Amino acid sequence: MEVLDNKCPACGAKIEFNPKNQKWDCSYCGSKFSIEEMQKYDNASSKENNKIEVKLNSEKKLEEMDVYHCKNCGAEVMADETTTATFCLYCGSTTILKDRIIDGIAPSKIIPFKNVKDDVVKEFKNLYKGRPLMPKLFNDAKNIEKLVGVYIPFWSYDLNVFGDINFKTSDTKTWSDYDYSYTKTDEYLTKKDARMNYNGVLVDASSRFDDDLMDSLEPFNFNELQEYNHAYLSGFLSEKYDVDQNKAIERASTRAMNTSIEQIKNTITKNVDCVESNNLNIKNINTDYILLPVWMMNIDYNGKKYMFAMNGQTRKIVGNIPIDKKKAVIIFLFIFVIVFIIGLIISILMGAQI
Amino acid sequence: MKKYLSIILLLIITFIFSVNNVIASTNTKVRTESDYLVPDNIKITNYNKDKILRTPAVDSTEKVYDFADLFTDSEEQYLYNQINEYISSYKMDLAVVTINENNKNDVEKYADDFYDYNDFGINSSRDGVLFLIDMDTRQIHMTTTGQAIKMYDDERIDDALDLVYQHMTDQEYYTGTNKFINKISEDAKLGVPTSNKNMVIDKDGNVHIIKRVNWFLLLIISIVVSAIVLIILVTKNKLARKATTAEEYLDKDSVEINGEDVFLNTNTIRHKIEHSSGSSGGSSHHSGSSGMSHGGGSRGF
Repeated sequence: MEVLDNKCPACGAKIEFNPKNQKWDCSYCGSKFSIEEMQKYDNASSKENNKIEVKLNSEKKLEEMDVYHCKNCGAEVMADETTTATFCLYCGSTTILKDRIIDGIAPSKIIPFKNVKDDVVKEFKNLYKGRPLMPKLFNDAKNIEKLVGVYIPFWSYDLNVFGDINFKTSDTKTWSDYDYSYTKTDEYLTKKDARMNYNGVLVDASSRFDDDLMDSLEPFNFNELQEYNHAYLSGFLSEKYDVDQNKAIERASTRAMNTSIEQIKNTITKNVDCVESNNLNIKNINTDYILLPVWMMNIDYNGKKYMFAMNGQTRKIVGNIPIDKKKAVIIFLFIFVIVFIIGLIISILMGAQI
Repeated sequence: MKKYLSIILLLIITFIFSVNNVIASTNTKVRTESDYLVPDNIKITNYNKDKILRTPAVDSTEKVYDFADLFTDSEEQYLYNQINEYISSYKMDLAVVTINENNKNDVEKYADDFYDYNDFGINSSRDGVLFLIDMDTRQIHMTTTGQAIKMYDDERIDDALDLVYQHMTDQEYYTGTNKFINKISEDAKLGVPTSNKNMVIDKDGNVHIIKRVNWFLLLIISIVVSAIVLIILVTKNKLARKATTAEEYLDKDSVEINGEDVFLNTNTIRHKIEHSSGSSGGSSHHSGSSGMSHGGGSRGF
C-alpha cells in the first residue's frame, strides 16, 4: 500500500486514523475521509504545501565542553568546567560518565536565568496553597537536592503564512407559527485570501522532555534574548539539541496553521461549517537555535516519576502534580457529608418530613 | 296448592311493600330556623344559613334520592344494594341524587351542600362520594369528601365521568349510574393513587399535602457536588498542556485577510410543533359553603 500523508486533505492539520469507523477523522475541522479519499487527496494539497525549507541563521561551532553521559538512560547533559553534574537529571541515576564534547552547532541566542535556587524552592512550596490534594513533596530535602537549572535547547522559527482558504459557511434563520417551526439555511462558499507572520514560534529541541511540559513553559519574553555567550552557562547545566530542525518545524507549522485558520475564521460573521479547501502555504523565514532557562526537578512519588519545571525567566511552574489518594477520599467524603446534611436541613426547613 | 300460592303472593306483596318502605326516596323533612337538621360538625353562620334552608333534608340511610324520577323502583332497589356493598367494602359512604330543579344553579354547590347538610359520610372526616344527576343544568357531578378525596384523584374522576356521561345523553340513567358505581369500586380496590401518596386527610376532613425528604435526590446532589469539587481540585494539579496554537507568536500588524462570499443554495426545514397539555396529577379540592373540603368534577350531557 502507498504511504499516506497524515495530514487532513481539507485543512492541513494532523489527522489520525479512527479504528471505530475505520476512517481518518480530522479533530480540527471535523472532516472524515476513507482510505480511497485519503489516497486521492494525497500529494494533491498537503505535501507540496507543507514541505518547508528550513534556513538556519548561523552555523557557528560550539566551544569545547564537558559532557555527562548517563549509563542508565542514555541522556547527555553538558556543563562548562566550573560546573559538575553528580546525577542524571532525567532518571536520577548517579552512574554518569564525563567526557569532552567534540563538535556541534553553537546556539545563536540565549535567555539567561533570572532567579536563584533558594527562590525557586520557595515558589515550588507556594504550590501547596489551594491544592489540598497535593502531597508535601517539597518538604523533603532529598527532592530539593534534585532541583537543577538547565538551559534547554529550542528551535525558534519565524514563519510566514500566505495563500487562500475556502470555507463552507451558512446563515440560519429560525421562526415559527402556531403549527410549525421553520429553519432556513443559506449556504455560501467563503473564499479568503490571507497573509500573516509569526515570530519565534518555539519548539523544544530536546527529545528527553514531554512536548506538553515544554509547551506549557511558554511564553518567554524575547526582549531579554541575548547573543549567545559561553559564559552564561557557568553554574548551570545545558543540553544539546537532538531533534532535527527540519523535523521540529512540523510542530511549529501545525501551530501556526491552526492559529491562522482561527484568525481567518474570526473574520467570518456566518457560521463556519467546515474547511472546503486549504491552500495556505507556510514559509520559513528564519530559524534560530536558542537556549532557554528552565529549573527542573524529577521527583519519585509512590514509585512513579513526576517532572516539574519552572520557566527560569518568568517563574511559571509547570508539571503534573501527583494526587494524594488518601486526601482525595477524605475530601470527597467530607464534602459529601456536608452537602448531604445541608440539603437535609434545607429540606426540613422547607417543611419536608423524614 | 291454592293456599301455597296465596302465601307466596302474600310474601311477595309484603316484600315489595317493605322494599318500598326502604326506598321511599324523595321523602324530605322540613328544615326550620329552630331546627336546621344538620350534622353535629356543621356550624351554622349567617353566611350558610340560607344555603342550609334551601338544601333538602333527607334520611341519610336511603342512599338513592331520585327526585327527578329517573329510575324505576326495582332499579332504585338494585342501586341501593350496590351502594351498600360499596360502603361495606371500602368504608366510604355513597349516595346517588337526581334532581329536576337546581335551586343553586351550580352542580358542584348543590352536590356539596346536599352531602354536608345531611348526615352522610363515615368517620369524623365524613368519608364518602355523592353522585348527582342534574336535569336542570344537564350535568352530572361527582363530589368526594374525606378519604374519598385522596382515593379519587382528578384523573380517576375524569375517567369515571367520561365513562358514563354518554349514557346520560342517551337517557340510560340507570346504566350510567350502575357503571359509575362499578368504576369507582374498581378504583377503590386499587387503593390510593400514587399521585396522592403524600396527601393526608385529618379528622375534620381537611386536606394536607405532606412533603417528604427526597433521599434519592439528596444523594445524587451530594455525590455530584463532591465529584465536581474533587475534579476542580484535581485539575488544579495539572500544570502542563500541549500547545496547539501559536497565537502568542502572531505579529498582529502583519495580518492581512481579504475575501468574498459565494452564494451556493438555500433550504428551509419545517418541524411540526407538538402542543402537549400537561396535567400535574393529584386531587384538586375546594371548600363548600359548610367549610368542609371536597374534591370532584362535572360533565355536561
